[in-house]
Amino acid sequence: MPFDSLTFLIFFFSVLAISNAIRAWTARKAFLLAASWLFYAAWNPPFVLLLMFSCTLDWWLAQRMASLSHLGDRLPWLRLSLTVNLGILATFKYQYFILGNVAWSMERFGIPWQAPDMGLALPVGISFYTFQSISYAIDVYRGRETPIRSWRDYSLYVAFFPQLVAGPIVRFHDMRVQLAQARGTTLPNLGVGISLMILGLFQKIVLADGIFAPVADAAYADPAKVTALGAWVGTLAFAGQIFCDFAGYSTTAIGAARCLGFYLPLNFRFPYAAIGFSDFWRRWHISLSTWLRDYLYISLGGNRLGRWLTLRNLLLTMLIGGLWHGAAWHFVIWGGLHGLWLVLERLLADRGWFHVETAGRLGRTLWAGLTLVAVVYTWVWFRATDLDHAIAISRAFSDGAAFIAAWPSRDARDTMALLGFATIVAVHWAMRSSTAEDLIARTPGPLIVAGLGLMSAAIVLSPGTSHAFIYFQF
Amino acid sequence: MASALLATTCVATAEWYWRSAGYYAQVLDSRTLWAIERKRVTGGSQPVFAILGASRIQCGADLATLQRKLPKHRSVMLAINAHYPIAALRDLAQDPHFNGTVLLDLDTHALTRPMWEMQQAWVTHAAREYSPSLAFNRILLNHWQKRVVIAQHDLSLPNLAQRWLAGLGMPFQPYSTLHANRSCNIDFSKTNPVQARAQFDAHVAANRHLIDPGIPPERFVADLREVDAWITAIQNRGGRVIAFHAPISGSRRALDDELFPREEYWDAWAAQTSAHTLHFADEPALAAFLLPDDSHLDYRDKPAYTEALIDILVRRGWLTP
Repeated sequence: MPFDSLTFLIFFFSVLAISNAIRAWTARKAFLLAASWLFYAAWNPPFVLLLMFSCTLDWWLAQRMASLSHLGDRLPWLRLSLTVNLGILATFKYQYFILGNVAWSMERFGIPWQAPDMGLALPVGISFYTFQSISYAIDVYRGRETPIRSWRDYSLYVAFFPQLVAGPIVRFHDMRVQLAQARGTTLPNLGVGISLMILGLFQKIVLADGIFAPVADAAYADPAKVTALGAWVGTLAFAGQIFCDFAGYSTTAIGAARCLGFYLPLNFRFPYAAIGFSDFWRRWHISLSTWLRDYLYISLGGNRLGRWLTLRNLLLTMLIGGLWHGAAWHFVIWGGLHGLWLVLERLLADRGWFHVETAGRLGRTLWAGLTLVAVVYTWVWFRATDLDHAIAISRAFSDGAAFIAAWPSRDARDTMALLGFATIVAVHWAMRSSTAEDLIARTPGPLIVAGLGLMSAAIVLSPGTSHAFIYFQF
Repeated sequence: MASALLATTCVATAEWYWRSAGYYAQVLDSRTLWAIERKRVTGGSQPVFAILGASRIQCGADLATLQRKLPKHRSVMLAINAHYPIAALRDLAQDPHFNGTVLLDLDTHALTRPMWEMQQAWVTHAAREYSPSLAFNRILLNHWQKRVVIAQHDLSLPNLAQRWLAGLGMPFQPYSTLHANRSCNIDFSKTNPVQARAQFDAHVAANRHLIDPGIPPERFVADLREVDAWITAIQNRGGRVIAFHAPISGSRRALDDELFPREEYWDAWAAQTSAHTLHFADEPALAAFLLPDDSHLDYRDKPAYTEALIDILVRRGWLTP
């Protein structure tokens, strides 16, 4: 059940009430686990079994690994975990992509082959909980974590409903202590938690769905009818939409967890105020970018193997990151472009031509502008329906004359989306060294009251066509 | 608490304002609402009377009258405003569990191939995305939307802000009301039907190239062999399909006659298909109803119209009450 639904409202407050009525910490954790399974089953009940299987397998494999002292002895168990987890992910998420590309390749060799339709639905959140499980397995393999004995606690770590379907991707290290210590709802946490949930739902319902999505959807609806104005306005609107949608979800998830006494990691830190591409990825989907750094980039060798292999590892990590987002080549290209930006930034620094950290104010400002433009352009490849669509949009970007001619004919919806995006960028710049929680802590009480009250009213007064959270498809 | 009080005050003020301005609450259609009804056409022991079509039948068939005239049947409204129903017919044909009666309300334009996929997104949602959780949420939404005006999309803050920026006036005041069972009432006393007819004529003049598919009769009839196979599939399971061309008048009828001369299109298909076909012009009792905008009935005429339609279907031996 999505966060922006009446069902979730009833579910969440019921869970809040019941969990706090349960005194024993172990019983409370069992209840939260059951509630999390119920939450997941709301999408597609049979897939709860897949989630349970994944949890049980990795819990058991971790026990096996920890009983072996040598890495070499542990390796087969790690490989088994990776094979099963990635195999499940490949089967459910990448079946059409893999089979489609095999069919395409065979056709190039003159062998006609129709890829079978396995008809498998994509389990919601599979990319997220799979990565979470893999991080646990690798941490145990590396000896950074000792496996947890309690299957219930491990399952709760993976399946905890606030972060189950769209993150943040939580490291076991962050949850271990929290699972060990009894916790429940406190007034301060409830206040912060509810505030974050209101902020998150405001971002999703009012901004993402109400202002940005209609403009982005209209511009990207028909690949055959791409215009210069639509390309620019639609892409800027999508840049606003994907931030408000995903950050809204993460903020709501963090708030819901906080209400229950749990602390989830920050997932967004005002990314449209990034100065440079490395900085962008320290601010956007932080839990994923750090996961990719720690479990993919470093595993490939990181920056320990010389300049060119470092650049290769960067590019490869981002290409795979793109593929994680979607089983299609335009997602791979999206990731590849980000990899390219990172590589270019690294090369400029290595050669001493430009280093973000030591650049002057003008240089940093220009680099920030370039970062924003490049990030916005890259969203084209994320939002487009396929490669041809992305190419058409990209071409339309460059038609300056058509854009200027069409500019006066933009409608109020377009203007609102542009103003909205500009406001987001301004807010990000004002807040770039802070967090939403800091802001809440620093703001006078009456202002918080007014802000929360007005945001809550805006949520209720913004019924519209609900768009599924974008990252649910991952 | 103070925030909640502020929010409640704002929301209540907005609700009071819109009610004072004459806006009213109503259920808003959605794919999940359609899916809930779609699930009702299979299962259970009652024979099903499934109503497919667009706004004419959605706002023309009175479900209470149907309940009275066909007490043994479960009537289910699957018509979708502004969307022709061939994809929904295909969906029922491909459902091995469906063997009820289909009242398929469509005009000749709806039968042309470019119009076939209009309802497919609803069908896909019901087949792939629908879940009990979505249905439960939808039921909660029904209760909310039936009771509060602020639940209307047109009155949402983003929509109002856009209208203000564009210098437009107050949001459109609807003159139709949708119910949770997906049937609809149009109250023409709340609008100007003459204006509605004039708007339609202007729309046709501006979009002629989109409305006229330019399909010759031979291709029209040949294309429909595919639809006939779906009709046959339903009949082979013991079901029945009644294709009904609902009444139209004035410029709508003139356009229909011009683009799709009856003998070359509707009648030619009627001769080929195994479905029962009923054209409104063949039944004076149906043609006599006033259509204020040349296409739809006023809600006050729904019961009489529905009764007349059912009586005709029973008289022709196509329905057993």
